[in-house]
Formats: sequence, C-alpha cells, structure tokens
Amino acid sequence: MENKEKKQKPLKRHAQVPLIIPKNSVISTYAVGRLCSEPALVRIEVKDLIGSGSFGRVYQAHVNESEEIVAVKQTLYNPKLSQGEAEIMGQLKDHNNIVRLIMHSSVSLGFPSVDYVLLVMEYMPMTLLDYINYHLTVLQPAERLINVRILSYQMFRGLGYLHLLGISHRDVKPENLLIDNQKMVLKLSDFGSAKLLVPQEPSISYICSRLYRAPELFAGYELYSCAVDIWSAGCVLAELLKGYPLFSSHKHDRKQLRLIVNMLGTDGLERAPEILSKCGNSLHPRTTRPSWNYLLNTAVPQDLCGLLNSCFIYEAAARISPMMACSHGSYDELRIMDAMALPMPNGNPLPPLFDFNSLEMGTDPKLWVNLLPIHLSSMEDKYSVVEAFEAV
Amino acid sequence: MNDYELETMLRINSIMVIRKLGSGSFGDIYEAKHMGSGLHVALKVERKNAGQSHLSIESTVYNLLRHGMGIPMTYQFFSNRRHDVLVMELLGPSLETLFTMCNRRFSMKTVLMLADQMVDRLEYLHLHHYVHRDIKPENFLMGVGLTRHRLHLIDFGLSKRYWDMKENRHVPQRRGTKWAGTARYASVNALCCKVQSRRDDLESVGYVLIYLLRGSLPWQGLLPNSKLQKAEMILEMKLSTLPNSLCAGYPNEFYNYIIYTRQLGFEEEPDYRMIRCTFLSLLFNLKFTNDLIYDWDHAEKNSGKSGSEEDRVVVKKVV
Repeated sequence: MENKEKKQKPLKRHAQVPLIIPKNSVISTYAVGRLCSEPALVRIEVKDLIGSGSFGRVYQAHVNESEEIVAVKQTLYNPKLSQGEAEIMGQLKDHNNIVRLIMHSSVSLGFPSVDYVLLVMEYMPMTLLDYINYHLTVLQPAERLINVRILSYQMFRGLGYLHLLGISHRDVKPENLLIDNQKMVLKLSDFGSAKLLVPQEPSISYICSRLYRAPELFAGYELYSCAVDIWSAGCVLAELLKGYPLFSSHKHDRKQLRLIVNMLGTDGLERAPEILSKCGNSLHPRTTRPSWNYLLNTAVPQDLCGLLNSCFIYEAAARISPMMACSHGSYDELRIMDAMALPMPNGNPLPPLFDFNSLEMGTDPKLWVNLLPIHLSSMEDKYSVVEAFEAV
Repeated sequence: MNDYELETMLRINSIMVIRKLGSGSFGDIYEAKHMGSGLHVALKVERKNAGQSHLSIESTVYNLLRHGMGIPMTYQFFSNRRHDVLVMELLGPSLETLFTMCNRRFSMKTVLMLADQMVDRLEYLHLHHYVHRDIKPENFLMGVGLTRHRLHLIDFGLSKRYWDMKENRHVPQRRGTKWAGTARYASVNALCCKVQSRRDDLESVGYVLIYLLRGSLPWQGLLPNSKLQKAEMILEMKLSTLPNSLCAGYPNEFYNYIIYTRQLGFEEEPDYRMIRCTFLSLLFNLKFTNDLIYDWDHAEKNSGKSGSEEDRVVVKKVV
C-alpha cells in the first residue's frame, strides 16, 4: 500500500511505546470500508488525542476533509490475534447500540516504521464512566432512575444483538460503553477482546476487566459462554445505581472470587461446581443474598432488584439472556413512554429503543408480548362486566 | 409506660422508651432509642393473653420479608411472662395521617404513584406465600430520611399463608371462618367469611384508592348496634353499590381494577405487572411524571412559607 505523510514531525521512538500521532497530522492511506469493499484512498486529518490505554490510543479526526467528527483508534498490528477487532466489527451491521465501524486500515508510521491498525469509527462524546462520575450524581432521584433504565436497556439490547451472532464482547465495563448524554444513546465499543464463541471450544479465561469479570473466569474455566457478558452488565447496572463499582479489587483470583461470593452469598453456588471448587474450604456457611438496598447503599426498586438477581447467578446457563432482560418489567416504564411519545426528563425524545432488526425479531415470539411497546391490553377487554357480577 | 417488669426487660436490652406513638387492636407502638448505637427504633408491645400471639407471627413474617423494599427492618424480638416486644425500624407518618393533613383529599397524581407502590409491596408479600388480610391506609407508612418518598407496608399480625408448603399447593376454600380485619376496606369475600387469598388483598387496595380519591366510601357512616351487625351492613352496602357509581367521576382504570379484582378466582395469581402498567400508563397519560413528589410535600412547602411569615412578624415586633 502506498503511504504518504505530510507535516509528519520525526519523533524519537521509545521501545514498545506506540507512536503518538501529532495534532493536525494528515495520513493518506488505502482503507477498507465496512462492507469489505475494495480499498479506497482516504485522507485522515488527526485532531485531538481523546483517550489512551493498554489497547492503544483514540483520536478525534476528520475524513476526506469532511466536517463530520470521527474517532480513530490506533493499535499496534498483531498478526497473532486470531480474530482482529476490525474483523469482528465488520460483521456487525448497523445497530443502534453498537459503535459503527466506518473503515479500517493498516499504516506504517514513524522512523523506523512500525505497523499500526487504524479503526475509523463514529464519534460519541462521552463514556459511561464519565457520565457516572460527573453527571449522574447531580440528577434528581426520579430522573436518575429513568436514565439508569434507559442506558441499561440499551446495554442489554446491544449485548442481545452480539449474542445472537454468537459473539461475546468479553470486556463490558463503563469505559467501553459510549454515550451521548443529550440524546441518551448508549453504544457498545472496544471489540478488541470480542470473540466468536464456539461451544465446547476453550477460550482464554484471563479476559475482561477485574471488577466486571464473571466468577467462572476467576475460576479459570475455559469453556465459558456469552453469559460472562451478562455478569459484567449486572456489574455496570449496579454501578449506575451505586455511583461507584460494586466490588472492590483484590490481586489474587481466589481472593477476588471469595470476596464476590462472601458479598453476594452462596445461594446457587452448588450448581456451579467449577466455581465452588475454587472457593476453597474457608468459605462462610450457606448464606442468602443481602438486599440490593444494602449492597448498593441506595434505594433500589424491586423490579431492578429482580433484574440484578437474574444477572448475578453463579450458574452461567441460568443467567438471564440479554433479550429477556430487555423484556423485563424494569423497562415497562420505557415501553409506556415510547407508546405515548413522552419525552425524557431532560426534554429530549426517547432514543429509538424498540426498532428491532430482522435478526432481533427472530427471537422467541413469547418475548414480544413483553418486549414491544404495543398498547397494553386493557382489563376491560379481558373480563366482561356480566362475568364479574356472576362471580361475586 | 409504668410496667416495671417490661421496663426492666427493655433496660437489659439497652432500649429506652421515648414516647407512645399509638395503639392498635393488639398492642401499643412506642418510639424508643437503642442506647448502644443511638438508633431510634419503633417498639411494638403486645400483652400476652389466652389467644394466639400475633406479634410472634408478625415477627416471623418480617424475618421472611426482611430484604424487601418497603418492608421495615426488624432488629429484635423478645418476650417475658406477660409481654411480647418487637423492635423494628422507625418509620414516618401513615397514609391516614397524611390524608388528614391534606384535608382528606389526595390528587390523582399522588394516588397513582401510591397505587404503583402498593401493588409492588403486595406482589412481594404474595411472592412469599402470605396474604396480608388487613389492608388499610393506617398500615401504609412513608419512610424517614433517605426513604422519605417510599411507601412501606406494615402490620402483619393478621397475615396468613395461602400456600400449603407440605402439599405444595394453594390452601382450599372454606366457608364459615372467623373474619378479622377492617370492615371498611375488606373485600366482599372476606365479609362473607370465606378464606382470604391474594385477590382479597388487591380488592382492598382498590377500596383504599377510591377512599383516598373521594375522601370517603359509600358504606361509611352506618349506625350498627354491634360489630357483627356492622360487618353485615357494610357487606350489604358493598354488594348493592355498583362499581360504576363507586368509581363515578374518575378514570375508567379504577372501575376496571375493581371489576378485575372481584372476578379473580380464589387460587388465581393476579397479573401484578398488568395492574402496575395500567396505573403507570394512566399517570403518564395525565401528563404527570413519576417523581415521587406527593401532596403532603406541597403542603409542607406552604406551611414552611407561613412559618417564615410568622418569623418576620416576630422580628418586626422585636424591632
């Protein structure tokens, strides 16, 4: 591929530290579009650096001199990865709750040159972590609760689409959930850990951020399923309600596992023998789960308590599925608001929550009774007055 | 409180009584303080007699429901030769007290927000195989402090299990059982001396909601000669009052609710979700928000303003 660099300042390269692309740099490269079309020449004008981590760096940028802001993620090219992030994201069609990959490219930057992968994605102004830390705390309790429902619903819906494709995100956490806090749109992001999980095929268990990791991963179990994302989603929902992470961190996996079990109780642990065997014999005797009001130190409605309990089940197969979570009673309020075209507390209309695509519509028909915001069946239609008086 | 034996028992448990809050049909309620932690608690004191101890039943139910939202926390249950005492979380005013404070009329918004929470509490109780059997405004209390806006359900002294745990099925219907509870809000089947089940609690909620909206119920003001005759007169009045006239002037959802609860079968599980969605839809339809700001919150603001006015008057006088 032809590479051209303009205004590229030569920088001294430090070993193993990715190159920082200077502001206002322009990169010309051949990029592959989302639909795996033929590579096309594009000009990427890099602006501010907006995020960095062990994965690489994320910049704001413009493409082909357009005014639209996009996000460009720069990671080191690693041929050992069996399924690259671009490959995973390329399989995802446009979905309301998944960040859209516009194009991706391989480039060589710096001197001596190093290979990088650039992912050009749509730009979202904020991570959920920023929202929890700086915006959620200033809201009124009722408004905060509505926003928690709107955001967590979209998290489950995005996971539902992934799991229908057999893909597990494997790194669900507030930093990887991008939101637009005016429109209340939430999108899954960072598919660097995502994988197409095949049943009975082992996968690496050292995956996912520590505070959001499912107990079977701490136990070293390698035949896990997409249900590890549900545990992570439960942790995110708890953090939305609590204001900071649900679990504290321990360095050792066994200690972390013991902390989780002691906090949530041992109910149901006997049905997850791969976890039980790792807890050791210093476990407390059988305990029930404390109330979520106590665990989160805040008032939690009963329906969200039920949803949290459905996420935090040790037996992975028994955890609630994402589409079942979307149909949960916790989100009935959103269905009613959508049916009546009511605005959100901040005055903006609800984001599209119920425009399911063909893959989502192929799910269990029993879900639709609760999933869609169809006008609720009236009690008057079900029971006639005559029958009622006869019963009395 | 002038019972030396009871005072001694309380002192041994580091509890100091502050004042009496009220009386129920089976005992008295006191505000107290735990000396060790400084925690303010509520004491429910019942005098033992030949009958069954309602407070021990109540303590059992509270322990079963201990993690529920809107169920007060219980700390201790102890007894001596003549008294049973239950130490529990201190809550705020009851709906009856707040109702009187708001000139015996609640707005539609307040009633709908309370309805949603009432059905939620009952669903939780029924989930644990108990029916309450004494639903009335005096048994719904608001919290204090952080739970000020939350509705709590109390007084499980008359609660009964509707599920046979051994045979794992619903208890059978019987007639001729002794009836207990509050006649004003009791269901038709309860007043007919039938065994109460989940439908009866929900029917009582319907009467409570109508009471909070209208200010009274048609079967109030009767002049019976005895308690038994009072129940019979109320039953006759309930049967002769059509749901249309009972709910006249209010949205159809209340009429539909009364009809629905009356036609529920004895062993039938109510559709709590549909009920809550119906009230929530009505709340949104009337352009209200579920912000948990009630009529008495507005009343407090007004009294606050008048208070500040009085302060100004005092300042003027001093000057």
